[in-house]
Amino acid sequence: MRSDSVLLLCLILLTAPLVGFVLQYAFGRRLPGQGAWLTVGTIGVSLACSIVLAVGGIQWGTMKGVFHLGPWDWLPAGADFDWQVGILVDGLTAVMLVVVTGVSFLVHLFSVGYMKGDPKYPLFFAWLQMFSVSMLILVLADNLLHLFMGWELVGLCSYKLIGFWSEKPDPCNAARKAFITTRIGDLGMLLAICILGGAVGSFDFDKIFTAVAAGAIGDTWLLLAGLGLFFAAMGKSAQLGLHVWLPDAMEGPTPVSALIHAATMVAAGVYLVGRMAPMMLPDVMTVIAIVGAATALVAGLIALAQNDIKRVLAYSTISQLGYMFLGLGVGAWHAALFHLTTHAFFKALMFLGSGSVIHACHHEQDMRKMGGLWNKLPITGTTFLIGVIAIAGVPWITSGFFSKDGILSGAYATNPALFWVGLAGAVLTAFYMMRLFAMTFLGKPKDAHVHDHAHESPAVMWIPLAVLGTLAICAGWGTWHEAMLAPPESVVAEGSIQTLHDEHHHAGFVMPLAIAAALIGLLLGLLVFWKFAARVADWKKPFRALETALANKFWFDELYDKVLVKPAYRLAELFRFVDSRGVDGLVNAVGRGGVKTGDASGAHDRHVVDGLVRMTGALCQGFGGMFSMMQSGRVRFYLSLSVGALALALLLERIF
Amino acid sequence: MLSLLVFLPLAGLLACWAAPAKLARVINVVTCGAVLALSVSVWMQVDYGAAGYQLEESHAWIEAVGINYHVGIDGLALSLILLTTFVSFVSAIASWKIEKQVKGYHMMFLLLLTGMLGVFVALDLFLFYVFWEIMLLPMYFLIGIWGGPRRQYAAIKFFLYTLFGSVLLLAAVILVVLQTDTWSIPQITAMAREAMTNGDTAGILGSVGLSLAAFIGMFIGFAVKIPSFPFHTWLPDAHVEAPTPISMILAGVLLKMGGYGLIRIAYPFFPTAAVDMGLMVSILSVIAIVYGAFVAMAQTDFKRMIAYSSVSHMGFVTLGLASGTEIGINGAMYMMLAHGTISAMLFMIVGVIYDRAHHREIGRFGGLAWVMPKYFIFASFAFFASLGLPGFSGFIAELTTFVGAFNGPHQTWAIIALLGVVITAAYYLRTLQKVYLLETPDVYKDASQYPDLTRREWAVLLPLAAVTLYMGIIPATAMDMYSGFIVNHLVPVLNVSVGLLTGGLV
Repeated sequence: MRSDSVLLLCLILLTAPLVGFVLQYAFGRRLPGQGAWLTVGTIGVSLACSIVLAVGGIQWGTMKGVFHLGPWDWLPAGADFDWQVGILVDGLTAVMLVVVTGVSFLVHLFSVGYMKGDPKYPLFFAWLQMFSVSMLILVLADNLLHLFMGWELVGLCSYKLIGFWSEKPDPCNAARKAFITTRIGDLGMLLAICILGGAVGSFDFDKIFTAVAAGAIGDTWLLLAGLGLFFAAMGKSAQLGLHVWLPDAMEGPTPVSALIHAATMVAAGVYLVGRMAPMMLPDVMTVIAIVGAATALVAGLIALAQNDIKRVLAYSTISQLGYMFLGLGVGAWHAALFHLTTHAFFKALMFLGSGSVIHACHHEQDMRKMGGLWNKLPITGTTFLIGVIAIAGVPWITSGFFSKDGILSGAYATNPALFWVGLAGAVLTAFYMMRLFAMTFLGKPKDAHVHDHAHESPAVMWIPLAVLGTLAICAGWGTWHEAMLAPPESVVAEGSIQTLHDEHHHAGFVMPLAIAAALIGLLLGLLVFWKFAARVADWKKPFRALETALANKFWFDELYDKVLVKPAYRLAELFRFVDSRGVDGLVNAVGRGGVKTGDASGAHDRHVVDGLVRMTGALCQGFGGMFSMMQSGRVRFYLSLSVGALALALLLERIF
Repeated sequence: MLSLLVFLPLAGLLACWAAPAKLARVINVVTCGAVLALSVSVWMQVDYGAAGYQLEESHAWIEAVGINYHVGIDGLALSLILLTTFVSFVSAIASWKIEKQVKGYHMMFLLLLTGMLGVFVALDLFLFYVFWEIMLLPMYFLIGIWGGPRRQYAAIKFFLYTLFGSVLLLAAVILVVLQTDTWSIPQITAMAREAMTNGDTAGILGSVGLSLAAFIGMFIGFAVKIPSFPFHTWLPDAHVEAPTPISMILAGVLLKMGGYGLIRIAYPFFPTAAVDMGLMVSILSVIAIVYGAFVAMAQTDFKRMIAYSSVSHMGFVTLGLASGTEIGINGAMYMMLAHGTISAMLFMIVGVIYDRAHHREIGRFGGLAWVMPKYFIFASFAFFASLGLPGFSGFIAELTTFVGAFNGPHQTWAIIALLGVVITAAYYLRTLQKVYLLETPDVYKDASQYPDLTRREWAVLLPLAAVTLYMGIIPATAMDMYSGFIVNHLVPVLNVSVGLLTGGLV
């Protein structure tokens, strides 16, 4: 494919949803069908372009033949800096483009049915469009600065969409929490931008890597930059510590959750680390792997104790993202990004599926009131089951099996301890997903009312499910991913990105263990929550302490509230007090003749200054009447007087 | 040409005086429109790639002491002139609803415009100072007569604070003039540069200590206007009491005088002192950014919160300056322009709701988005622009300032300043939620009392939003305009000073 046709395709796929956003935002309500189908169309155009790009790329077989379009001058801030914008299309970009536009397209389609009747229906599609645009800007970027812009816009769109029902306090708070938590992560990004931009004089990925390879950046700064980037990724991809926003983000409409959890937002963090992996020092990689593994395990545990269907899925996303970072950290680059792709499909599938369930149950999200929905929702149930076996990694057929196996092998090769953590996580994943499935679809209906009124969703909603179901199975077949997701080479000494070949070169028992983990987890889940569902309560008794801890999500929110949020507000109040204190202090000062304030030490300097101002002010009160009565005519008089006096003073100064 | 630009508002002032009161606002808008058009035509004539000043005019004024009426501009001044005429024009439209002593108000408004434009074109220190003082007076009256309930207090506070700054500025100016024997800003700048290239750290005053003293005097004089911590406490009071259009001009243009003074006068005149004081200035800037943001977070008055956000954002200007790097100072300048339109917008946003609700308590609002949806679009636009989202001009300004400051000598402080980004997001989103989202209290549901934006309000907000967006997407237009002086003159001189200072220590 020629580079100008690549450029054209990129511009079309970027502009189409942008136009959709503008039209929908400005005229949505007046368009036929409130513009929903228009936005489905524009994102469809993007999807078509992405597929042409990706397939064209494979066909031409030169995935090393990366397309770097531009760059064009953008920000002339200094002679030693080239701040440009450009487009980079390589295999990773192409895959991300298809994932983003594909999932987004299906989410748009699903929303046509799901959001029907919402008073802000057109606005919802406008922001879905913008969300896609932001994510596309992010993945098409050829430099860190440009990527950061997409990154921040993703934050804005998530704020708008998580808080879509902003008449209610919960969505508002959740949206704000998401924005601010990810912004805390962004501090790391800004730090990395400052370090790399300053040292390299450019934000271009290639130039950064070249400079790093040439040793232009000291190890300490490189370490900080790498950690900064990962910290930013932790925010966006909800890794342990900065994960607290993601479960709350469930307050948004379900299609938004599907988009956030599969194609946009959380994918951004993994993509960032994947993109910047060549410059990550081994120490940074170790940190990434450890945080990833810990996240995979802890989030998996918390998911066990959740009863809200969307919350289980939310923690499962956090846990799966942990796997991806584990993969990146141990150098299994290909497997991690492959897992990002497959996860996008089966997680979007399950979120939309849960949306279908919630829709069917008239906005009931508590799994304890569900059960036995299999007969009522055959298509949703079947596709959901596909999602469950895919995420559990049922061998040889599901896509999740291939990608997760790669990550575990990589972990085993690099860091066996983390492999065992990952394996434990894999058992947990299969177990809690089966728990979700069994509580929702199997067994006896627990709430007759909910069950009686349940009904299968319309075609516009189940077709996306069917498509995603197919992808959740088939995405792992073949070797397309090896061609498109060929790992980059590390540019730091002893950097640990393994080649595909290394990844497969694992001890013979990793795969059997992974398979066993998936099957044991599923089977156990099925037994406990379906066959012996009645006895679960008894079995749980000895684990009460653990259950409390899990149900309370290990008290992260409470902790942050205590050590961060509340102190921040208290500090704000304190500073306000300090700031206005001068005024108070000076009222007293005037009262006491201003003597005491004068004696105050240097620490009270500000009070003194303000005190003097206020004291003089009080003196001037006497003249206040005169001032306020002063008519405009006399201003000129006053003005000429002051200018004249000044001139005179200067003259005198000059003469003597 | 420049004289016409500067004194055209005075013609409008005379027309206001002569014409009946009900015509005053029309005359004001027409005059400001003419001035805006004129400034655009000046823009067309200025080649900001060329070195030195253009469209210069010089006439002997007070020959006995060598004072000239000397005006001229370069790209740096031009960018701020365009900001001034633009913000004044929309503020003139926003002044439509002033009902008290209409004639006087619009006359003051136009006098203020002359003062502001004069500061940017003056190339003679005396002329500069005269315009500087001319600005002060109408502002005093505009706050003191047309302000809110505590207007007298605020006006006097404003007056005394700025007078205090002006006196220090004047003292420094006199010192400079006595030593260099000229009032010409370009000449003194050239002398300072020559001293640097000759390796003379004593500079134009012939003494390191004196330079430092004069720089500090000037810095405080300008810092009061910016306003820099700890000289900022006049700002919240002045803003809260000032009528909406005056708040817009105050935040949009007047605060930029300080930054302009530093870039045009204080830094080029005393480069060694500036480098010497870099750490101090960085620290004060970081305090302004972080502390200002925290104080903004604790405010209950909508307008006061915006005022403190100005303190916080103007901290970026001094932070960028103190870095002494091309990117940092370019970023500081970009922050001035970006903050100019964004803060004008924010104050208009507050004004719109104050006109309708007659109070500004954040806690008493709620759900306004559902009553006034178009207004809400502009409000969230301004909020996100101000918190530095890409696509808006504030992002470019913050990012460049950070990168510049980080690559300057005061790295640690730049890192601490990053915190401001999070706190800023926190207070804006909190306010957004409390004022515009959630359920609408019954008081605000009356559509007749809470109509959506009027055409006049559209005419104010839309141009401001358009410029903010344009500057966020195509930053080169503004940056190319002003960066000449910074890149070709200021930064090289500062670099030489850094070299001299470090060389001197060895």
